[in-house]
Amino acid sequence: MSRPMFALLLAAAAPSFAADLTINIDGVASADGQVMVAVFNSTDSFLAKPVRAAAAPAHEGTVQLQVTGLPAGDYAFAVYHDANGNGKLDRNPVGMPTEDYAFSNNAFGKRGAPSFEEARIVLPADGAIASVNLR
Amino acid sequence: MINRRQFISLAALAAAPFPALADVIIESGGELAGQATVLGRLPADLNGVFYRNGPGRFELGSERYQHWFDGDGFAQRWQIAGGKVSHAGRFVATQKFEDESKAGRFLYPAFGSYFERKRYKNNDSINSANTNLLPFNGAVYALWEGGSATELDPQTLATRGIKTWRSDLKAMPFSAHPKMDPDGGLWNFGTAPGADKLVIYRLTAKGEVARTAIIPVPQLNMVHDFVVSGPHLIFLLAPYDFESGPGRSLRDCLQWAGERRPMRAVVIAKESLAVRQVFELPSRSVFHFGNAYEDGGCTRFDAILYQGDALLKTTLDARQALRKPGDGDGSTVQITLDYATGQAREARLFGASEFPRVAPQVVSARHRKLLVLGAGKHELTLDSVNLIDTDSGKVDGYAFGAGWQVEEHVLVPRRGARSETDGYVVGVAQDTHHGQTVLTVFDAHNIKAGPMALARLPYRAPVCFHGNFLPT
Repeated sequence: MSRPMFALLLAAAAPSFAADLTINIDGVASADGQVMVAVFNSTDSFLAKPVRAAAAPAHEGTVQLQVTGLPAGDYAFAVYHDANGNGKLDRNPVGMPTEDYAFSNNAFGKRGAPSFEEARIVLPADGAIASVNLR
Repeated sequence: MINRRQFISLAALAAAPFPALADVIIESGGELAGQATVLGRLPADLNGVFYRNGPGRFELGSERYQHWFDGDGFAQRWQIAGGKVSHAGRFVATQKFEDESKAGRFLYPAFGSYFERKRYKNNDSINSANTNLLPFNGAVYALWEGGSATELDPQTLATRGIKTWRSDLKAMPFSAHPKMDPDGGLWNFGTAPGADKLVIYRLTAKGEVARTAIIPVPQLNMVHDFVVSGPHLIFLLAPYDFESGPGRSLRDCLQWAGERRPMRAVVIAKESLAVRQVFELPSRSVFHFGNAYEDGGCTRFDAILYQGDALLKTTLDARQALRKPGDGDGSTVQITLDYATGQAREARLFGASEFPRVAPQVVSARHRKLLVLGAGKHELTLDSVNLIDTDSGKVDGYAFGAGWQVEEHVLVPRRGARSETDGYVVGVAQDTHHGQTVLTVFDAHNIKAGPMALARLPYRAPVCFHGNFLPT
């Protein structure tokens, strides 16, 4: 199926302004807990105020999450594996995360989180698939 | 005859062996294995594996590291069994080593050489696992000081992966100098650069975390080793400031502040895991310790102290290291901390020296013998093995002579040993004239008689920092 045709079919099934972001999370270490995603749409709100959040039960390997109905535009997301199901990213006593995490683009910061720009992905109106690796 | 008033420092050590060390690695192709030729008499009751580790790769893609602490860990095992000695070595397959090997160039920052061609997740992404090799609880652990231990197979030295002692302690700094307890467990510590937090670990013989604590300590920079007595954990904090900045290696962030601040001795009580007392000493720097014990209202311990910034002496820039030979010599000192007066006293035990060790059965108890390597007067390298009587100051020593570079030696007690000298001294030395790496065995009771046995490999193996003997 050609890509325009595919987009057309999608367009028929959803409002034209709503794009779907499919996130493939590779390298999930176990079936414990949940895989959590937070999606951000600006530098100012990055890691502070997500536009959307989603979660899926963990299983070993690749977990897929859908964030539907987003306006087309620029986004960045953060993912972590909440293996103990306590609803937060656990850290060791010197502040290093002890649960697996990743940012869109598999971006890393310098001694911390990356910037919105480094993690930025483009979500066109016909949707996008983004993959990250927790390892 | 050992000259106890020597003025050549460890500076020489770093400068001299580097070219040879680089040659070894380029030829090694990643794995070494061979049988040694035994000369002399190997004692029938000396059987076991001498596990050692050190930096093996200093060059990649025509770039070269600038500090001795930078190279990737190359784990080695010397097996002594039935009068025969065999050797094997391979690189620790850290994430850093694997990523950089694939890329064909350095990607990540090392201690004294700054690269950041690839961003990384945490301190274990740049863990070089290059400082010590510790047999513990049926496995062996390649230790670094800025992150986790890396577990290896004790037979093959194949890398099993990062060791997380408890899930909430993932990626925590775990130093390369744990101290074994009489019950088979161990004490260790960790520090994160610039964090001013001292992490304490007490592991059981089964590798379970029995106790852990985070102790805030101001200006806690460059802590490589510590020492343990019956009731105390003792740290010497050299006066370094931590000044981070873009493009700076960790070494470059450590700024010597000896003109402004003293050295501190911080005593932690094992019972409370809290600071009991802090002592001030004249500003010096330090890497390694011997052992500590309680003596009335005092704690006594041995350390090797340097005038000024000892990190200058382990740099691989020969010009820098040799600029002022004799300035900043390390010497072995016994320090006495007197809790009632708050005073720290010092007594000099030996001149230019490094790699202090005591017999395993006296760790954290009263010891009387301290093993150190000495630097010869005319040789720019460590070339002698010396057993110091810490009570009398007498030294039983043997100098290998020209062309030898001596590496860490350890005391191996006989089964049921009745004294610290009831056993052997086992170590490694590089015979640079013959291009051979040699296992050495001394009678701990008579070092000056020279080695009882030498086991010569038909090749050079990378120089190691630290290791431990596991008797079988």
